[in-house]
Amino acid sequence: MRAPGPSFDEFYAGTAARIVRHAYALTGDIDDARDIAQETFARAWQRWSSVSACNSPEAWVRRVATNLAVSRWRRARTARLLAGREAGLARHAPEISTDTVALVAGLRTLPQRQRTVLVLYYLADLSVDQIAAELGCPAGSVKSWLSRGRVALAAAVRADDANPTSEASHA
Amino acid sequence: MPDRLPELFAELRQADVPVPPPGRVAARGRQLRRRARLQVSALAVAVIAGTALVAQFVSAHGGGRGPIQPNPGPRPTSPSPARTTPAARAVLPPPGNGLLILGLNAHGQFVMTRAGSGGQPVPVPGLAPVAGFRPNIATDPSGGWVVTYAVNPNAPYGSQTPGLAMVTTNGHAVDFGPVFTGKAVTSVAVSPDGKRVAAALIPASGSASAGSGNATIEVLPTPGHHGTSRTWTIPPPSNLADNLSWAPDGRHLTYAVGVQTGGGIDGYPVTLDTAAPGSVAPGQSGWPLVGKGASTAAGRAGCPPDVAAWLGGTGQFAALEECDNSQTEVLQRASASDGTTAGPAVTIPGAQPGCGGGGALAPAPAGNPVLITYCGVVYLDDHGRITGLPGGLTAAAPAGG
Repeated sequence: MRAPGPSFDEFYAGTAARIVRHAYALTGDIDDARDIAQETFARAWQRWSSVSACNSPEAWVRRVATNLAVSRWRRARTARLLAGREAGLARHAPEISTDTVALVAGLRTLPQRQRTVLVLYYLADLSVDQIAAELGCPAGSVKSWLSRGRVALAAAVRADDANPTSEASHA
Repeated sequence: MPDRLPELFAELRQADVPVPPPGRVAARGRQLRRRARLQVSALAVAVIAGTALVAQFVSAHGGGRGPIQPNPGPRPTSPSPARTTPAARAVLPPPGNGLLILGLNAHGQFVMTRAGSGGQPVPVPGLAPVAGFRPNIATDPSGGWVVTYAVNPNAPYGSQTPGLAMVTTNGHAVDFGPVFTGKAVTSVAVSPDGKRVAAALIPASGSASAGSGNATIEVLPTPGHHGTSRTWTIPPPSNLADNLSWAPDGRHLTYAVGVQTGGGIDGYPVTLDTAAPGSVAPGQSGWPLVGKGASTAAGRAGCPPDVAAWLGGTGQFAALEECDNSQTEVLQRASASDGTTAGPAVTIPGAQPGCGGGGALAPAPAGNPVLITYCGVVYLDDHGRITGLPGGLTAAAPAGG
């Protein structure tokens, strides 16, 4: 017999900050991240009886947040390209350390799949197999994206360290 | 520098971020609920109106129901070949003149296409894409194929339980075997005589056993055949098994194992003797190998195993790896009997913009490997050279990127 799940309030209190950070890492914009978290948890609230019955409600909200972040990032990137300008990063995150801003800026330079895999691996602490299952893709692809993403992200962070004003070139 | 990444992410994990007020979340949730109710109401009105119109039409034309049509099965997918990426799986169905490609379309849905005349992919009926579920395909000697499908497609994203189905050439699907609750299927393969199917399983994300269970390989009879199901457990430190490929003798099974290490993932292809006694063959001293991991290209430290495939009746299998920083894929043939390498390693450039590593590996009829990368199809000839596809073998590149 299944034990009763947590109440929505308890769940929200325990996971909201993690989902905001997750969305921030994926979008690079703390305001967007907060909006995504709000939309994500609103959807969870709307169908809490079924979400709370999942083996992992947090995995459910993380997937929704990932999907929202990816679609939002795509829209934002298109808008930036059309406008011919790049949105700033640091102005949205005055409370966040320069290292974190550099990390998030570096993540934004990566292809979406590499970025998502890195965030799930390092921030959500998922294994390669769990990421593969969560994204619905082969483990070999996850490994490939992880491997390439590590190298690319390290290079991006290194470049950012060397030239802290270079964020305007991030795609 | 990659060593600094855990530290940077740890700092992000501790970052003080603004959380939306709970009241605002609940208000937005109520708004979504109201909208959903309105949509249901509108749909109900539309259905009632539509039903009335149909009834009026049938009555006016004196019509009735005709003969019951055979169930066409799930609706064919609507692949968009030019936007299909990456190729998650690819196999060569008999007689080997059309690549069967399972890919991911631009909407994140899995689609199956068969490269037909003129190399143009055409829809393959029998498998409806379910977002969040990763199906697998394997060819059957009779011309059909075995697929994994979502037993509960309406379950939360990524939590659908996989089951097995045999799909005939006309798209009729028959489910068989157990459902793998709490598991994800990484690979399936049908034995050369069509009597058995092997499935590689890992714990599914979100399940109670996520991250703690062992990978397993299950061998079970296909529909219409009898036999005993057997399970092999992949012992730690590996928690990954993938890329199943039967040997032509129908007894040996090659698969790739992965071992997660501090510096990355090491892996290599191994061969399992499915006729060997014992319910759990892997022992404390190592793998139940007939051939150990090829020691050159396959099995290098820091390199994921990626793909392995048995090469027809050649007694060899091919292993594909992409090592960190290499931006290339290295394909090595090896003897399945003792794991010694056969011929030179072939380096395949994989650094085209937007293209990832090797997506799938399939044996061509001549026993040569066909490599499906995310951006195209590569065929290796008898001398290990990258060349065009041989006559009779058509392929549509799962282009994308």
